[in-house]
Amino acid sequence: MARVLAAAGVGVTDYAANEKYKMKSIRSKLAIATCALLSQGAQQAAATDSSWISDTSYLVYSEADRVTVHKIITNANVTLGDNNALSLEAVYDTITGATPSGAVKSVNTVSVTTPSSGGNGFKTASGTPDLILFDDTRLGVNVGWTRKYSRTFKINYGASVSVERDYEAYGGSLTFDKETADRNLTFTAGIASSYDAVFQSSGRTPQPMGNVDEAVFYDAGKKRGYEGLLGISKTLNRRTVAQINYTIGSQEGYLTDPYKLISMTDANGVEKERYYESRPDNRLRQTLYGALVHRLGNQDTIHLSYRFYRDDWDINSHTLNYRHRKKFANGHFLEPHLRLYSQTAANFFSHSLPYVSEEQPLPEFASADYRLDEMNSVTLGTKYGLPAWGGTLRFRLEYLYQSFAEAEFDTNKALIFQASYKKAFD
Amino acid sequence: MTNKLRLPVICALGLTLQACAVFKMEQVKPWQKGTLAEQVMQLDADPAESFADDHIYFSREASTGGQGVGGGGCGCN
Repeated sequence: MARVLAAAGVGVTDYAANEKYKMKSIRSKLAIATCALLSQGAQQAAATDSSWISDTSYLVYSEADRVTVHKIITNANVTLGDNNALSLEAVYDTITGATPSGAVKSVNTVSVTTPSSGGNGFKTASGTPDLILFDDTRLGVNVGWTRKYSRTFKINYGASVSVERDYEAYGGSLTFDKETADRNLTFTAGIASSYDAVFQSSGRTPQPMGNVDEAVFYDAGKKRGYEGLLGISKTLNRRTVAQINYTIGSQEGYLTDPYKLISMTDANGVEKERYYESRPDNRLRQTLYGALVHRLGNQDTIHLSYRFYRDDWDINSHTLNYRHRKKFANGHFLEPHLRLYSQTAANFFSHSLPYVSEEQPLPEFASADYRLDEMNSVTLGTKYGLPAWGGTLRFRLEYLYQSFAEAEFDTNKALIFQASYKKAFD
Repeated sequence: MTNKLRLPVICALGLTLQACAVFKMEQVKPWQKGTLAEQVMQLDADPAESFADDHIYFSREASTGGQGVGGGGCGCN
């Protein structure tokens, strides 16, 4: 101030002039501050009226010598006034490559039979019935509307549709959130229902446990699902949030995978016959999920979660997820990620069916799908984020390694790359 | 309670008690929620990533769910 006054030629001993200048300066500063506050208030009011956030991703999931999926996800969250928010999400997948059919490897087969009637979507690789070729696309749309009925109570109404060449899925959900008056504790309850149609690309489904060479086909298989959730999330302190959820879900209908096969093999492991797999027509699933988000003293943020899963096919699993975000001064961040997973096998999983005699009875349920086998899995990767064009750009690269106890293909390795861009608009 | 359930439930209760012990509980006032309001502090901090992960692991494992209800299914092999 003294430098300014001196530069303006005002004597520092001229007390009255100095005080007058000070008052004028304070008044102008107050006026500027008031204008700034008012304009910020106006901006916030405008944001409250209508604002939206878009988040668009491109993802590639690529397995070694098997399936490659390209995925585009676009999401828009629109805030409409104080009490309504709309979420629109679209996902488009292209899927190509080969996946294990469940049959033993071709070196152990005595004949090669194509399990499906072909078509655009699905057929076995020539000479390799152990692998099935894929060429499919999927379009999915999810819509959500969140309506706030009071300061502490809101309901989310959700609907989803997903269509691909050999699968259709339709679902609806309701999620209720009730906060305590201090908003440090939230109770959540949710229900959902789904209706799916499953079929081979020909539009038909094989009879479960039917011999591939004498297959009997039916119309599309149908399955219904119901799901419920109870959860609590709690603000433990000004740097920590915790959540516990319990979910229970039931599925009934054609739960068999219409493409998966199981071989019948002799004592030397050579295939004698090949059958379509068969799964029970109902499944009850339960999960217990806990999550913790914490800001460390060094300003890093950690996300830790654990899920226990069990179902009445005797599959139990444990999933541990850990993310550690390191924030840099320029708005960039680095986020390493570790995921550990293990599961037990379904009670009807089998590598193959042992051949005893021509007249031996077949089991009611049997599957050689590697995803129902005992499994251990590790995902390791990292994400990097940075501000760009007024939004946030994120890249992540992860490596997935799965090992199976008995399945014909005993490992699965995949790379996951995702690039996302998020931006808010008024 | 079956033996299969006992271990996870004990683990979950143990982790909850540990969390309460390690993370000192306090009554957080509205003006103390600046950190908690950040996107990275949300329970689902990156929905685009978790949406994609749900789909990947749903397709490659026998387990699914836990964080919410609803969402589209698929015939992913």
